[in-house]
Amino acid sequence: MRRWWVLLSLGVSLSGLAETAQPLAIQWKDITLETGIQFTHTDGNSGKHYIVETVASGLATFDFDKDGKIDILLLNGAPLPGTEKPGAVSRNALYRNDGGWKFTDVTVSAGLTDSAYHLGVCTADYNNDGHTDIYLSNYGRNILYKNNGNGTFTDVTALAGVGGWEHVGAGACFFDMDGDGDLDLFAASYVDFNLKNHKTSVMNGFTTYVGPLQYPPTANHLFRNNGNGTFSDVSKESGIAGFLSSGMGVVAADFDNDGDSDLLVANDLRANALWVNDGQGRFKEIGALIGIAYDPFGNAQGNMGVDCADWNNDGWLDFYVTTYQRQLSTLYQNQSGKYFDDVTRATGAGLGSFSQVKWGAGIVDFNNDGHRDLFVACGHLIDIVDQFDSTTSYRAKNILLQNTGQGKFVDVSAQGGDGMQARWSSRGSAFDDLDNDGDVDAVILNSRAAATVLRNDSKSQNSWTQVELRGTGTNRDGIGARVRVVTEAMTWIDEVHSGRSYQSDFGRRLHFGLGTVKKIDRIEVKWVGGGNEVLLNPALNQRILITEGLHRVPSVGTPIKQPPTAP
Amino acid sequence: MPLALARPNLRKPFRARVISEWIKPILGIGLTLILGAAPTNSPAKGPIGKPEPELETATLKRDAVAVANALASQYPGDPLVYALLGSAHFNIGQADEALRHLQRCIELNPNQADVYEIQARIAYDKGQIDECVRLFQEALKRGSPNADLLNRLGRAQLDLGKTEEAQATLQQAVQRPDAPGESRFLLGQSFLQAGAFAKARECFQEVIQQIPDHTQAFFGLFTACTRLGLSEDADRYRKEFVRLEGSDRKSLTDSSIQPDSLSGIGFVRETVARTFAGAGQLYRAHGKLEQATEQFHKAALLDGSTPSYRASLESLYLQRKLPLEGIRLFEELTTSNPTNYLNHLFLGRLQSKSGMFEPAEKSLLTVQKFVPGLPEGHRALGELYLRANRKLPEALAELSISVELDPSPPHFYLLSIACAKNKDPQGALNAIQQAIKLRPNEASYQKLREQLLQAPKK
Repeated sequence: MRRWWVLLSLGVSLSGLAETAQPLAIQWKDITLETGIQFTHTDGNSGKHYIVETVASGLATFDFDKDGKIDILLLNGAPLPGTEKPGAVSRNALYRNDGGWKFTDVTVSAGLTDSAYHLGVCTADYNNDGHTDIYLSNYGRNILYKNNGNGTFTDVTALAGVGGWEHVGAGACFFDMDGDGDLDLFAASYVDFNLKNHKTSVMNGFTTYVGPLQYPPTANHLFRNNGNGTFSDVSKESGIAGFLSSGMGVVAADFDNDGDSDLLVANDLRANALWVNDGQGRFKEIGALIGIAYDPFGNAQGNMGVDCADWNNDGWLDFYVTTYQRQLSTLYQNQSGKYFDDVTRATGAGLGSFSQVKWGAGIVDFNNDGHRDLFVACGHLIDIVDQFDSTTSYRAKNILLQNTGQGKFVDVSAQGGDGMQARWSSRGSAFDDLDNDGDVDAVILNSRAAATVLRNDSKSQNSWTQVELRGTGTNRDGIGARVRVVTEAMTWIDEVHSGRSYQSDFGRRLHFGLGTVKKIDRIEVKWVGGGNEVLLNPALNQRILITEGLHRVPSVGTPIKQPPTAP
Repeated sequence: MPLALARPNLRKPFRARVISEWIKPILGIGLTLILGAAPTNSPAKGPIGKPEPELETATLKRDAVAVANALASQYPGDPLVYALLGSAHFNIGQADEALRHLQRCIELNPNQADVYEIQARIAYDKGQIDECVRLFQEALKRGSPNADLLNRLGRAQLDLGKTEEAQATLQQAVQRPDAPGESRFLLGQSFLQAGAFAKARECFQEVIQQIPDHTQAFFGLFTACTRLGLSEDADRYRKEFVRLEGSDRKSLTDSSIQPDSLSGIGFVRETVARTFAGAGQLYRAHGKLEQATEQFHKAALLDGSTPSYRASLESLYLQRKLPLEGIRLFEELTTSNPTNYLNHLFLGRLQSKSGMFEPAEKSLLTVQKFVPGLPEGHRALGELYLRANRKLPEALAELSISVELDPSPPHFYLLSIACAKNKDPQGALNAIQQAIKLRPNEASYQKLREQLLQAPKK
């Protein structure tokens, strides 16, 4: 079967093969029980059907202790008024990756024991001290935790000035909006819900939740980093506050390749917002103008999560937005930064998604064939939906769509291993190489249930490379930096994001599947607000650390460790 | 209005499942009384006070399935009872159970094209778009194509990315005389998705000529013009789209916060009423007129805005030669819901047919008070005067208005009689010729024309 992939990478057309799932497909193994992760999510439900229950929660995968292994932060809700378990303790869980698929709960020692109702998260080194910090978007007030660099965190929200308002939180992201070398912060809000304006509805005889249109839309928040550990709220002057909507997933990305980070906000039952950045941190909303606000029929969808990557390797970042039931997860293909085409139907990017409510999303190359695949986390938000609508389900299988490399996706969920067979009501999803074996694994947060850890067991012989950035003049995590991996056969691009998917965060270490290429010619880095970097002839199948300024003169890349050979 | 499938989902999954309305053609509830776009000025009220929505819903759903089951027990060989049973189950969210019954219907009558169509729509809701396309094609094989079916098939093909097939289907749809603007809108979408932007633009322009406030067509025009580099046009269409979308959104938001919308009870009553009406039609087909009346009565109580339920009640009381019982029933309905013009209309019609001139006139004038522009109201009052042979100039005036409002063959026919009775033979002849032009094969029209031609000229 290897031959098929070889032919694909050479651009040979095999239309007959391309549309059928190949045995050399992506395989997921559910290894949650082996990991020691015992987290159970709660949405704090008390039978009162608060809308906030339906949208909890996201998660983050990131290396908080700088040991080279990706750790996991799982967000939790909290008891809501009326809960029958008033003494119940629920909090987030930070799991340290000990290697060998073993994780240790270090939440208490890390000091992440607040009891807020957590919805979204993004992580980044906001103060450029070399340690990754955590921003939590909550129902209530948001929280910023500064990483002390010794395994502990300190709540610096008040000092930083990024949590001074009550809201229903949503996605958040750190990004350098003005190229000044420190990370600014965007925090989305969902709707103007509170316990006083709470409503319920009755669907087919069952009391349940109302949708977002039952509440007024809200404004999002944008904070400029002052470079001294504090932020200034620039929501109004930046233009952000003038647009009221119902924010869910967010991602910052340079969609027009002009060197600064723009923002996409997925809005639930309202038009998606694409904020184009003038490079100085002033934004203009152009979602409808550029074709990303609606589906192709002109309908605002129940947009949930969003991921961003170049799915067709044309050098432009595309967006994949997950949606509500009876809508397809939507792939917006970037047409040279001028506009977006909804190519969902033409490509099959919505396969298997119509009857489900979709949340987390990833545009990730899971089998290293050089073509990014799609992962969609599913599960209805109405816990009793099965009782009155058998076309969908509260617990649902997730969706895996394999990119054929010929402009199409095929639904390989059923052949994706036992990790794709479980039914949960999933929300956030994150994708990172948890065992440093050269392929990308997955962690899924399931509402009212245990999280799921999926090991990527795809038997690929394909090449790959992973790139980790270390800013020196620009932000230390390289958030927003553009990386190009150039080979004779093809060029891949990616960008470092903080905050993506459904109110989640992952992928700080960029992963490139390279198919059958035998040699990387060079890796180019364009830093946000900084210069360019070029590494010549880095080795294949390595994790490579690129430090800003060290490679301005082309030099050979330096692997920071010798990873195991890819299986 | 755009196809329901293209509307934003209000997070009310049941909203799209109005399967009982599809059963209408199956059961032949195509009643002759068509009131056009008459406004609904009075929502249905529950039959028993104001029970909790959950309790009422549970009771109604249980009753609907029970009625359908009873019919299946009584007439196990009738395929249509399984169609009714299928719709009753689907309306309570049991899609698989619904499919089982619909399959039984097809086993008994493999040529039941409408049932394939229903199955196709369930498959669509389940996200089984391939299967949906197959079933729509089965329906097309077995029945005559209609624009709605072709639209739905085309939409499903579009969702599968089968753009060329969708174009072929939608080209068929737009050529049909019953094609709504939606057919052309979807054809425009198929061109848009194929990158044929000029053709897409043409289609959308035709749509807005037909439906000037078709929000999505303006979006299509904006998209097509953007891709064609027609930036000024694109901007103009985008602004109009934004305006219409804002207006749609406001209506959507306003309606979604209404108590009946939040409770969902209005929708449940409507769907259960359709099941009762379907049961009524089946009982009627089997000669069980009393049971049929009972079912239509239940439907009418639940749904105050669907004229056909009351029309069926009227015709059943007349068929059973019990017009006074019918009048009593409609009197009860008007008492319990005095602002519902339909109750007054059908009360007046039955009173008219029973020779109760003054009460009928009072009822029908009440209709005109509520809905002055209702052609059926003017027609019924005109018919009353003709039938009673009283106030003939008023009859002529009423029937002239009904023709103005709705120039349909029956209205021309009645106008012709009114003209004749008002000693205007030329006017009568003109009117009946209009009726014949619209419906050439109607024997009663031909007969009247002959009578008018043979009448001695003064």
